[in-house]
Amino acid sequence: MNYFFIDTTNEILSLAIANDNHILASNSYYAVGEHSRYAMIGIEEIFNKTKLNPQDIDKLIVVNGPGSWTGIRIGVTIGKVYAWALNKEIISVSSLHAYALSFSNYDYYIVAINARRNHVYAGIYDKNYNNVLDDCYININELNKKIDQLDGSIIIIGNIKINEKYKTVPVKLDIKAVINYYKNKSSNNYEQLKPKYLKKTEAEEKL
Amino acid sequence: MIRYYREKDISEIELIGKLIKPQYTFFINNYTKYLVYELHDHIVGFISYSIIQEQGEIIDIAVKKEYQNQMIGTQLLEVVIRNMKTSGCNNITLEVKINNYQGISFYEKFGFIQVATRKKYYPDGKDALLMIKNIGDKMNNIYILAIETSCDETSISIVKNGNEDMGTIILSQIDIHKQFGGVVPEIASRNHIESITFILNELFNQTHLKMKDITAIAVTYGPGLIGSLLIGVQTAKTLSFLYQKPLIPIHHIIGHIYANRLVSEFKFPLLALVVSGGHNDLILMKKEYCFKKIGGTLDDAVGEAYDKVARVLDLGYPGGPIIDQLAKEGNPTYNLPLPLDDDSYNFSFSGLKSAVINLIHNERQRGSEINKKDLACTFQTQVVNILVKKTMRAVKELKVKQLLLAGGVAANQGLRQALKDNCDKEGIILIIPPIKYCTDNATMIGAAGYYAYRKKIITDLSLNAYATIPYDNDN
Repeated sequence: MNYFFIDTTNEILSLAIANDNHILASNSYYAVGEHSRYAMIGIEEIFNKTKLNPQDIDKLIVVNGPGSWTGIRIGVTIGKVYAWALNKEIISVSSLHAYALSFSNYDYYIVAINARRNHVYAGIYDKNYNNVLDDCYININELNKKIDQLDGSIIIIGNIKINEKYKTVPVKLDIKAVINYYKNKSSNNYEQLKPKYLKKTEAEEKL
Repeated sequence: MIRYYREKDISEIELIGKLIKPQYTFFINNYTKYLVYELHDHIVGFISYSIIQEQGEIIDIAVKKEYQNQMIGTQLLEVVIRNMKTSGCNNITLEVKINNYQGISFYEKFGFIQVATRKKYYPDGKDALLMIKNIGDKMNNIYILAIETSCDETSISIVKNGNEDMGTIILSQIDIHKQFGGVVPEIASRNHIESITFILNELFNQTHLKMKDITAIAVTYGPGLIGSLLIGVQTAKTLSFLYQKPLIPIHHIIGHIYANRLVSEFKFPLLALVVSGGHNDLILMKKEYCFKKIGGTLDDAVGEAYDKVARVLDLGYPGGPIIDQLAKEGNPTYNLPLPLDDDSYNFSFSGLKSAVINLIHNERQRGSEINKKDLACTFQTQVVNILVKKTMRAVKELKVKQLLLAGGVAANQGLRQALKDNCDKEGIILIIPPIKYCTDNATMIGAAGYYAYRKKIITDLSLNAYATIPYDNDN
């Protein structure tokens, strides 16, 4: 089985092609606001490197947010169109879950991404990487209250300091770990694959 | 003789392969095939190629030094082209190193044309040239798959030879944005991505065409709402990559001009008046796909002024069609200034718009009722008068043969009628697209895409979207 992975939800654009045991090729770019320009070039490069054709991929693994709204849509558009065009299986992955999966040996993984105005996009996962707190848009103080109730070893992963007691470990992405976790999960229909914004637009909130 | 390779040929193939690539290794998978040219029990040349989903690709072709210029490569390529034809391929692609002039001219003799460059394609960092040859039954016809998502319409179309609409789907989000009194960019982007694959699916079902029938993909890359444009651009790039189809970037305003091509031939020089919610340009075309902006708006586009006036009058959104309708029922009784009336070809509508808004406030403060029909009529009369005046002056001064009207405001009945009357008087041909091609649609992008393709205006996968971008290419 061959897997194609794409994450365009944050400032680092990550792409990979893997088979069951190995990452065959991967690319990552630090390109804020330039994902639209680099995503397809990067994809072409990893296919050239592996000598695989887009048809050779069995499953598309697409990170669908939360994160930059524009960024999310780049990866989700590529995934949806790819799945439609070549009739491929596709599965969406929460960015927060992907970051949690990139760490190990804790009882709880708290992932918090800055969403401004004292809010974060956050999720809490247990040692088996199941959601204890569903991915949500949440006030930092409220999140801290939930963290205080946890009992066991914890790690806070993210791009913003939210707690005096614990330091925040910067986000990293272990693509192999993410693919291993998701490769046997049942896939979505490409029409069901939707961006995970976790927040309404301002215009809608003001209505 | 030419035959398929056998196991025993591999070492000889690799030796010949090293002539073209020092690290050449024999490589085969489910799609690749090798043909060899055997002479006196030895392999003197080979060709490798693949056929994936009725898409042919030449991978490598090599002939031993001492056997070159003996038509061996030609014969190998001819056999493969024939094979691909019988396999139902519509086109053949190949990559060739950008400085391999001998190779490029060899392929050009077979009718391959250059369509794109692949940056740093080779291990030595050299670019590759992507070449394509059409071989299918539909080889004489050019089918453009066109995508337009610059504002709040998601539209995809297939256009044949620049003037035949094979099928177009437009999903308008107007009802969604109505409640906000205008287009909300983030909401527009969110809706585009929801419907993009649904529309692709519907379109191919309706037209009974397949991706293999498509010659090239055209997409609006600006100007417009950046988040919205990105959905279309990303869709087009993904399809271009997956199917190895040329990618054509189209400027939204050029699309509007070419909406006219769906109903008429062009006679040059011509003048186009593009009027919409975002644009207000006078464009001179001396020949096909050459554009020179001779005038534009200094502030609001005319459609924008309509929307703002409609909002102050509580008429709803979008304001253009409502004001146009009311104007028909009213009289120009109010006193409003004529917008910028100088000897340039530029427009300015913000003064007129402010005058209307002030007038409404004053009347309201005085407690007097506003006659919306009469005010709409006065406003529209002033707008139409200046548009017609400057446009007709340009028509005469530049001695154009045709006048094209384009853009969403081209649907305005008052403007259409006034331009028609003036053009009839002057003996100028006026072309106006049907209403369905006036507002944003992908059909016009497909029409423009055809002429861009013929001019080899083709880009690579680094294409980005731009909120503002010029279109002039004739200075």
